[in-house]
Amino acid sequence: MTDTPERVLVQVRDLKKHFPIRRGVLRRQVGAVQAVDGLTFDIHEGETLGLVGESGSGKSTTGRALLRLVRPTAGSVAFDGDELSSLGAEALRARRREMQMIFQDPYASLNPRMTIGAIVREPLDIHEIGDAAGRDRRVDELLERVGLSRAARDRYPHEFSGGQRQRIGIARALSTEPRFIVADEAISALDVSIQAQIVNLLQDLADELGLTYLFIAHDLTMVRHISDRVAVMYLGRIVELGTRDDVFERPLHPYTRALLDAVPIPDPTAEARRPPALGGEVPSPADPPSGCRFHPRCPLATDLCRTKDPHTREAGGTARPHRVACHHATQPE
Amino acid sequence: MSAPAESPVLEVRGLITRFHTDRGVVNAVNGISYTLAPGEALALVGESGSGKTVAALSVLGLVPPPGSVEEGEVLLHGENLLDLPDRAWRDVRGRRVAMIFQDPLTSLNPVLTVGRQMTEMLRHHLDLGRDAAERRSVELLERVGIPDAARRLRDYPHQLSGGQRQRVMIAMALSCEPDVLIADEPTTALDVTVQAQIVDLVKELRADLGMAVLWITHDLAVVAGLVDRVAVMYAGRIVEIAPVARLYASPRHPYTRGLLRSMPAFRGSTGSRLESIEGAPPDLTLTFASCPFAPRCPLAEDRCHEELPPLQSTGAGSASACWRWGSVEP
Amino acid sequence: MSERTVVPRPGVWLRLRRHRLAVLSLGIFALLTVACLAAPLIAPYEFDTIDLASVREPPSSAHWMGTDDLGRDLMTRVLYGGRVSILIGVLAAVLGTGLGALIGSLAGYFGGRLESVLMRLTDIAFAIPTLPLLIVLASYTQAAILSMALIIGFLSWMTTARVVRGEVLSLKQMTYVEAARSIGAGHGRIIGRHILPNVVGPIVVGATLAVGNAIILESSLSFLGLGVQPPVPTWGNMLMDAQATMATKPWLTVFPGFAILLVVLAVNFIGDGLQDALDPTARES
Repeated sequence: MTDTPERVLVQVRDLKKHFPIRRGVLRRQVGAVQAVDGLTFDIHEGETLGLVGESGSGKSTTGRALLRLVRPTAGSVAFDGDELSSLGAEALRARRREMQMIFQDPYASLNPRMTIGAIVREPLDIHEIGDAAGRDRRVDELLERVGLSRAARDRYPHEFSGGQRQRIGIARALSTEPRFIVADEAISALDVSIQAQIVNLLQDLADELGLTYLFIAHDLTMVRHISDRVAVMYLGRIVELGTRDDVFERPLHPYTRALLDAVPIPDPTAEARRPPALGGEVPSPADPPSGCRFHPRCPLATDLCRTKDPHTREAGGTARPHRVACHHATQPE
Repeated sequence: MSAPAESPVLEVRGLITRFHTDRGVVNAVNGISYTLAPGEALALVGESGSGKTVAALSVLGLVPPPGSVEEGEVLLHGENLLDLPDRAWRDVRGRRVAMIFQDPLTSLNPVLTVGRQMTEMLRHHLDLGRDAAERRSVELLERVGIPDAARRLRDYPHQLSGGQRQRVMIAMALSCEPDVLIADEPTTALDVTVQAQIVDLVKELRADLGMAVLWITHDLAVVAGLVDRVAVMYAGRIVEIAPVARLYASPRHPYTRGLLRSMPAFRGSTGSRLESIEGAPPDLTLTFASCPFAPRCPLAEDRCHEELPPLQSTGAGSASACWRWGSVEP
Repeated sequence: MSERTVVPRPGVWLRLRRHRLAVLSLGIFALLTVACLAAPLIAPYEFDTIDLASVREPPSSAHWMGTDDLGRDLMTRVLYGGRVSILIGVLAAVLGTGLGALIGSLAGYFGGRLESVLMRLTDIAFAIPTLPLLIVLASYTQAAILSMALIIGFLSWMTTARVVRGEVLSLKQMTYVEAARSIGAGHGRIIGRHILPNVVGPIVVGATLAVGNAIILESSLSFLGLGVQPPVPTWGNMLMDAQATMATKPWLTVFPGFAILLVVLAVNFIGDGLQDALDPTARES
């Protein structure tokens, strides 16, 4: 984190993604899953923005909408000043060089019938970067950079462990020298001891290459470790956004607090002091509650919360603005 | 927590479970032993491939083919379950030892209502009439914190949320008041707030019902507030077992220490790099004449590459399978 | 060094070679095909030489497989018949499976209206009884080998189309397909490199089954007098001719029948082996 004015790399305004629910023979639309329902935030060049939330929060859809792997229902995503929805198919393809994704499941994200070399090389082939020999050299370089041997080139994904496959996925994402990477639960399928290896690798790469990450995860411990700023999502909305320290040390939204309280800590004495868990579960995004979407589970909820959707407002913040969408958000002492 | 003199409800001795696959023999569980006192909670912690789930399934005789328990004893109140005929097994499962799984959706029949599945099980195990079984089902669901229990009985499993399904599984597991509850990663598929709810529920039920709990997990954090003792598994062996406070404060095996260190701190300062354990867990088709962790171990010396360390006492009810346990820094 | 080592599949051949049954089958299939193609050179008689002095003779040293009801040498006819049957079988299978794979993958991948149209078309094609249609078509065309293969091929793509569509629907959801989209891959590349190679199993199975099917369909047509016309022999029309004397003169059915069985089995085992050889995750035995 620096104090110099930052360049906005990804600008998101009022982003919505509703998936239609169709029923019957005529496939008539009977409703919509409001996976993402009005997000506004910026990602600054060189930062890691953590995006946390439970299932149904819409965090994965957000990542995909940013890369235009799903077409947003409304709102805008601008990458380095270019509004993505205004780009034609060819221009968008070209832009994909600069924005890449690392996927959750290292077993499903690599084509089982392609060699590692072909997988890592594919983006170079698609974007016609360099000549054949150059591409081969680049593949070797990338494999080495992510900690694999060159011998991996001629082997197939099933010959590798989960952690190694995730390294291959990272090498593929890096091949076109992107500026922005969406890491969607990139470590959650891995064993604890391997998670640390991959997180360290991601951090080293960010430092070396000046990468910008959107780090999507449900594991708050890792998000706290890797992020500069953190956004907390609940049912398609960002309920709180601020610097890592603001969000984790001085959470404003009651949901953020409940989430932080629920995180298990590998320390029996700390666990003994853990407050009782937040009741209820995340309601269906096809039929979100009225007013504030968190009100049915919220310990602070009042009539106001049941009827009026809270606006996002700025509530101080130490180094950066700290935004919260809650009628009753207060600074904890 | 129980007095050490009390005879254990469950004792596992020298358990060896192997899978005879086309690729060779997979040594999933390589001679593990532990005891579970009445009302005690023990966590079996390990990464994928550590053998923790197979170790749990072995206790209930549920190891799927081509695997089988090849050696060892599983003593429930002193009676070796592995000697039981099939019919007697069925009586043990569900009634005296119950198990809940990671994915409740696959353990529930999708085409039957929750009520039907619960009442059928109650009628079978407890010889209850239809009405009594239904009343008992409602009680059980209320007991595990499912609101509007009578209505939920008419729901199909897919109509419930993940947390509710796991509650239903717990309710079914409790129905016969088992002596031992085996929980195989029951919260891994759940959201963090729901995970906390389930952990709280099991803690509360254990206190009320006095059942012993064997909790299988990959997550050292989840069980920190839940169990009395923790056994850490690696390559099919228990490499360290200790009372919970001691294990977290001063691990006596470099693998345990590595696991703890590779998790970022959630309170206090955020270090810039995590301490990771380099390399990957070994191939279980191999058999080990030396310490299986030695290739990844920062403390490994010649002896570690030559001799297999036995699980030896490190005092205060703890044991470690490391030649150099005295040198492991907290 | 090749310029574009796009699909480096080192060892597909090597892997196939390890599949003993497939190698054996490949040998048998190749031998049969070569023998049939070389029929004019190796056959002891002409396929239409009638010898009424030796009608329906059992196998002997002069006629290894015996003679038929016009005294023609059966071995000669089996060899000549194979030229037609194998050609029609393979050609029709390749055509039908190719068409099916194309239609199925387009329907599955693009979905929407295209899918509805293509799949309704498949349903309709399925609903039309094959044999009557074949009869109609065959009566309008010359019963040449090529047109027979085309007709049979065009009538046997539906199963493959359905199976492939189903597979594509599930493969389309795989993360690696999304990953390909995220790196900017176009539809052609996604279908060609990420989807079709992973459907190769059902396609190969479909193709091998289609070979046998086509040989048999051709024989039905021959039987109805609509296939390849006598005196040109095919395994199908030989079998049909011999139907009446199956009990008394078994060699007349056994030899052509065995030839069909051999080809169909061989093709099936080759398909099996190919499927494993093309799958890098298959266990190496």
